[in-house]
Amino acid sequence: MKQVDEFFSIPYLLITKQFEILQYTTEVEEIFVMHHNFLKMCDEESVHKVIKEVVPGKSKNKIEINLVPSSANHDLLLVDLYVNWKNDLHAELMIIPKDQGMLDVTASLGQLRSRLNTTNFELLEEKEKLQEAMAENNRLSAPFIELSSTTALVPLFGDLNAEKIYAVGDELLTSAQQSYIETILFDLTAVGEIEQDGVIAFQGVVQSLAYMGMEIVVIGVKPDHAQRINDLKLKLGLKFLRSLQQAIRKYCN
Amino acid sequence: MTRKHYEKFAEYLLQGKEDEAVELVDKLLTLHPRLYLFEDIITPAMYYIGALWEKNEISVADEHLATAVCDFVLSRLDAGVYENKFQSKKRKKIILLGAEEEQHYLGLKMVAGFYREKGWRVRYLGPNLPLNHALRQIKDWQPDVIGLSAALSYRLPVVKQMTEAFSQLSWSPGIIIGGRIAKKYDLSNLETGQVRVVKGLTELEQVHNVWKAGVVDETS
Ligand code: B12
Repeated sequence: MKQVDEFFSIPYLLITKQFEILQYTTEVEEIFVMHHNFLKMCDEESVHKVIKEVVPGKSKNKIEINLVPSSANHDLLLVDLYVNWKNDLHAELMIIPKDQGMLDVTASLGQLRSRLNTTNFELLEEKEKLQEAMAENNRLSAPFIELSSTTALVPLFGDLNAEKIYAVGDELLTSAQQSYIETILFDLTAVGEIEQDGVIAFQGVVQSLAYMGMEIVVIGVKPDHAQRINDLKLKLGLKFLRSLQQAIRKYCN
Repeated sequence: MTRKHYEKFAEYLLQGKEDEAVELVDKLLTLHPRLYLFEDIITPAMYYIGALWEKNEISVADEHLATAVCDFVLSRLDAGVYENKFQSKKRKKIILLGAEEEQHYLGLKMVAGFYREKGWRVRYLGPNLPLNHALRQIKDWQPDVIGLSAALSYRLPVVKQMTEAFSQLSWSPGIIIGGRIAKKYDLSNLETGQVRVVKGLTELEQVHNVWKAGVVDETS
């Protein structure tokens, strides 16, 4: 192959139908890794495209491909390849690397994206902290207080929903297991709203405790809770007492 | 039928029609699980876009637009997944990152969605992460598993280097290597008791089912 100087200062090549390089300008050598065969200068995953698009049947063509650059800064260089067949055997190739401007835009888009991502990240972090705080809050709204060696009091605070019951359920069951408690007093005096899913979850916990042989007593049921809780009474055979005082008198002697 | 869906989806991506793309995904979501959307619609659509580029029908500029719309659709798919149902219980942690210099991140983002749906805590660090950066974040957070993704064949040495560095961590996290590189090349020489090469989300799902069945202890 022959190096030519009498041409524009751009990467230019003359090749055969078999992609053998006959002529090339210095710019080709400067920007890319030279080979005798043009296909060897292409990224392996651009070769197929070159073989299909650089054919005498398409006498003038323009395609985008990736070439292997001589600089170590990049793995690949995306270029526009202009093809002009002089005859059935020889083609001229002109290589125009993609505008640096576009590459810059791509890079800054990438940076923006990763900034968005970090923001997301921090939000997520805060969200998880909040969720943990809420879970903690839920756990604290049902302390397990041992009144005597056989009786424990579990006062419930706030609205009764499934989330809260799930949060306290496990601890309640373990506390009950680890002690000699026989009777658990659930005090609903400080409960606000009772939600349907809360009742179902509550039923689950009470049932497990009952299976463990606990006697379950519910105290402080307000008139507007009565109906919901009453269903449980029938299903689970719970005992009801009006006030904590009554309960303490009965169970803590 | 499916073929039509992913081609249609690819068309929306290339035309920048995010509303239509979201609508199609929402519709399919009523019939199929998310995994199907990731694996049988969105991924094939992106590969199809790659094929169009090879046929000289579109340019890389078009791919950028398609990527942006696809990214948007994935974010939408992610919304509302990590919910309270995973409360209190101790959740497993995974960190996801792309090899240094890598710009292909859509697959990694899907993996993030995959794990969120499983109730894991997910730190998605994005692609193009220098090793020392990655190591700092990983040591800070001590994930149970590290997921590494790469697309370009030129990343093989970096992937190897990162895998070796992660293998030395004191608490021996699980390491999963995925991405196009895992699909195209045989990386089985990187596999150890600690390192798995996974070709796609369907395989990832299988790996997890095996873990669940207790054949492999994922925390060890
Ligand atoms: C879209 C695209 C882009 C987008 C990027 C999209 C993005 N942000 O992710 C843009 C336009 C930015 C881009 C840039 C480039 N690209 Co590009 N790109 C593609 C294209 C068309 C589709 C890729 C894609 O989105 N796939 C969809 C995802 C979902 O698939 P996936 O990554 O395989 O992921 C799946 C699995 O692998 C798995 N997975 C992925 N990661 C992980 C991780 C873990 C832990 C697990 C378990 C699983 C897993 O999950 C997914 C679902 O199964 C491909 C063509 C192709 N056939 O792949 C070319 C392609 C990958 N790109 C290529 C090239 C060369 C480039 C550039 C260098 C230059 C260029 N523009 O042509 C630059 C690279 C810059 C850089 N430094 O990285 C070549 C690679 C050639 C090679 N030798 O490897 C390809 C093959 C095109 C080609 N034929 O030339 N590209």
